[in-house]
Formats: sequence, structure tokens, C-alpha cells
Amino acid sequence: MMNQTISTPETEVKPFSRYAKAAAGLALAAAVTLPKRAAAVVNPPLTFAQIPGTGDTKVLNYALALEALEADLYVQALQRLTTGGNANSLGVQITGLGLSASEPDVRYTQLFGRVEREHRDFLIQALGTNSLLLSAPFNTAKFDFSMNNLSRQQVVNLLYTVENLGVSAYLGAIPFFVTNTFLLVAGGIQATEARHTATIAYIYNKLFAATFPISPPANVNNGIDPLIAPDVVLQAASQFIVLG
Amino acid sequence: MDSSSFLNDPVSRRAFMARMTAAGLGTAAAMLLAGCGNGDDNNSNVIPNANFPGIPGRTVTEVVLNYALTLEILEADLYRQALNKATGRALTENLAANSSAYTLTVSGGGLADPQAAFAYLRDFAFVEAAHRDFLTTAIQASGGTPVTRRTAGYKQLVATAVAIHSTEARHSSIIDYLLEPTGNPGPEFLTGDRRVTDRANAENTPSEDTFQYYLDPPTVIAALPAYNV
Repeated sequence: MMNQTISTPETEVKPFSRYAKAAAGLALAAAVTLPKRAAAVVNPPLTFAQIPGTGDTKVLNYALALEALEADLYVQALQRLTTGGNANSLGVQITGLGLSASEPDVRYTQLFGRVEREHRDFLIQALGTNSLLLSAPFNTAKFDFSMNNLSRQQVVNLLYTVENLGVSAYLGAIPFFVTNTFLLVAGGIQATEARHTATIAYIYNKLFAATFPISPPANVNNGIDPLIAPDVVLQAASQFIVLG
Repeated sequence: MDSSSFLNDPVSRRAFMARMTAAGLGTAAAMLLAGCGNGDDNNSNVIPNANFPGIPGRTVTEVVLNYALTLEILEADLYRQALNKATGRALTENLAANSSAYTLTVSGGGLADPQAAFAYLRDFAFVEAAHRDFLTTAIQASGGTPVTRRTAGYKQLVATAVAIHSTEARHSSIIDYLLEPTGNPGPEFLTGDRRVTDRANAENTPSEDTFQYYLDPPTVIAALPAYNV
């Protein structure tokens, strides 16, 4: 379980953004305190070596793992922000915060959640029988975000952090492609994640008077999105993944 | 010519620049030479590593040479494949030992003088291969490790290009949002766009906003004059 705390010029951060910050050296990290996870998450954290397949298949399975996490996060986040009522895959009933569908965070959680499901389903289809979701231990994977413990601000913060990590995760995976076959699609998904990240950052700033950067500023990494290596991404994501 | 003479000889550098410019890589060449020196011919300048992300090398000179080699490998490979295509060979065939081995076997494709075009294609393929080999030898001679085809260095460059691309996407989405706060800041299909899943000139399915679209370079270039003053 990762629950270390780091400090930024803005506020205290823990625990998810620790990896993004460490790897990218950017101030794009989340800036609220997230509670510790409740369920028995995978430990030690997953590594890229554990992702099934070789070459391009391995990279696509890595992407699928992240898209599956994102898709489930959006489902749970929408329930938390609105009426709640449904149990997540771990059987935990989510309590809703009762926000209106017209609120910007609710509106875009619904919209982007649908897009993430389509990304996930595209990868499942592309992988066919090679999908990691068809083989143990990933075929029983569940996601625990301790959603009932998150405030509205923490929910949006988590969406921002996960989307932001996704942008860098795709960049970090590109060198592992053996062929160029899926580069175009990976770039198409990655840019969409970047759009989501920027929009969520904008909404977060408006709702909570924060100053998350919409995109890397010119004086940080030359204004270019940073890449994060797969093992670092999986270490961060593992705190939400329950296997078995 | 060794690497030091290349770096210190203004004539060689001018010739190199001219050739790179002719190949449409003038900007890349300028950046390379800016890294080699600071306007005169000494090699004392220091460049930040961020200017050459993913390019290996123990010294600034080695990084710059590997950057140049990366471009040369790309060019040499482009010409090799084009020559194979023009002569009916498999694209994967290596460059022949002698240029006389090649004869044009495809139609002229609307070119006014296909034989002249083929002759240039054939000659340039061997020239680019020679440049690639020269840089490889120069780096090895100084004890360095030259980049090779399809190494992580290549994909790192691609990753950097995609990283710039996604930063543009962030900007685009926020401009979208500012123009239409209740709209969809996701990818939007516009005239000329292609989808990444099958390169078709059509909207994504099942939903328009699922994947970023792209434009072919000629489409982009054709659109530019409307904004030139």
C-alpha cells in the first residue's frame, strides 16, 4: 500500500501523484489528500514484465489495463457525484453526493466515462484472444478507489490525476512498440486523454479555486507532456487494483 | 574526413547544410550545427540535453552526431525503400552493392521525366547510405556508440513528437471549452480529417469523440497559405 506523503509548493500531496511527480518532475500532480485504499490491493505492485504477451501485444495489454481502470473509475465517480445506489465490482454500495447532472464535473464525468469505455472496448477487440482480461490473474481484477471516502473535490482530483497519468503512460509505452502498426491509434487515444486532462483541470480550477496547469508550462520540460515508464505507472495504478 | 574535420571545416559544414536543406531537413540541420558550435567553428558550446531528448552520447558532440545519424538513417532507409519500390523489389531488400543493379520497372506516375527522377532516386539512395555510414564510423572512431535503425532512440523521438501533439490537444480542448462551455471538448470531426483506427476520411465509431483525428501533411500544407500574410 502506497501512502507516503510529499510536499509541493501548493499543498501536501499523497499518495497517487507521488509517482507522476517523481517520474516527470512536473507540478502536474494532484493537490489534495486522498484517503488510503480499503481493499487488499495488489502488492507488490504490478510490473510491466507481468503484463501478458510480447511486442505490440504486450503494449496493447498494458494500455488495456489502464483503460479498464479508467473506465471503471468513471463509473464509480459518476455514482459518487450523483445519486449513488449501485455496488461496485467489490460489492461496495456507493453513496451519492447528490450533485445535479448540470454541474460541469458531473457532465464531463459522464461524457468522458463513455469515451474511456470505448477506448477499453476498442483494445479488447483489437487484442481478441490475447486480451489480458481473459487470463488469470487479470480476468478477476477489480478496482477499489475507496469512492465512498472521497469528497467532490477528491473525486475530480482523482479523475484529473488518473487522466494525467494516462497521457504520460502512453508516451512511456511508445518505445516498447516493436512495429508501427498501432502507433497511430495510440497517439489518437493519448491525445484524447490529454483533452480530458485539460478539461478536468479547467473545471477543477473553477470549482475549487485551484491552479492546476492545463498543460505543461513553457518552462517545464519545454512545455511538452512528460513520459512515464510503464513500471512507474503500474506502481501507481496498483494501489487501486485488486486481483483475485 | 573524420568527425573533427567535419565539425571544424566550414566548407564541409556548408555542403552538409546545403544537402540537408535540399532534403527538406534544413531546420534539423540548423539545429544540429547550432549544437556543434556557437556561430564560429569551435566546439565549446554546451547544449541542454532537453534539445535532443532520447539521443544517446557521452558528450555534446556525440549527442549531436547521433542526432544527425538518426536523421541520416531515416533518410537512407526512405531512399532504399523507394528504390526497391521503383524497381519491383521487396521493400525489405537491402541496398545493392552497386547502383547499376537497379533498373526502373514501374510506370512514371505522371512525372515529366521519370528516367531522370529515377536516376536521382538511385544516386541519392547511395549518397544517403554513405552519409549514414560516415557518421557511424566517425562515432565509433571516437569510442562512442552510434544509434542504429529501430532502436529505442527512434521510438523516443516518436514519443517526443506525440508528447508535443498531446500538448497541442490540451490547448485545443480548452479553446473548445472556452468557445462552448457546455459543448464537447473531445475530438471533433472536421472536413479532411482521418480517423486513426483505419485512416478512413470519416467520423469515429461508435462515437465521434473517441479518438483524436489527424490530417495528412499535404492537407495541412495546402491550408497554410490562407494564413500567410
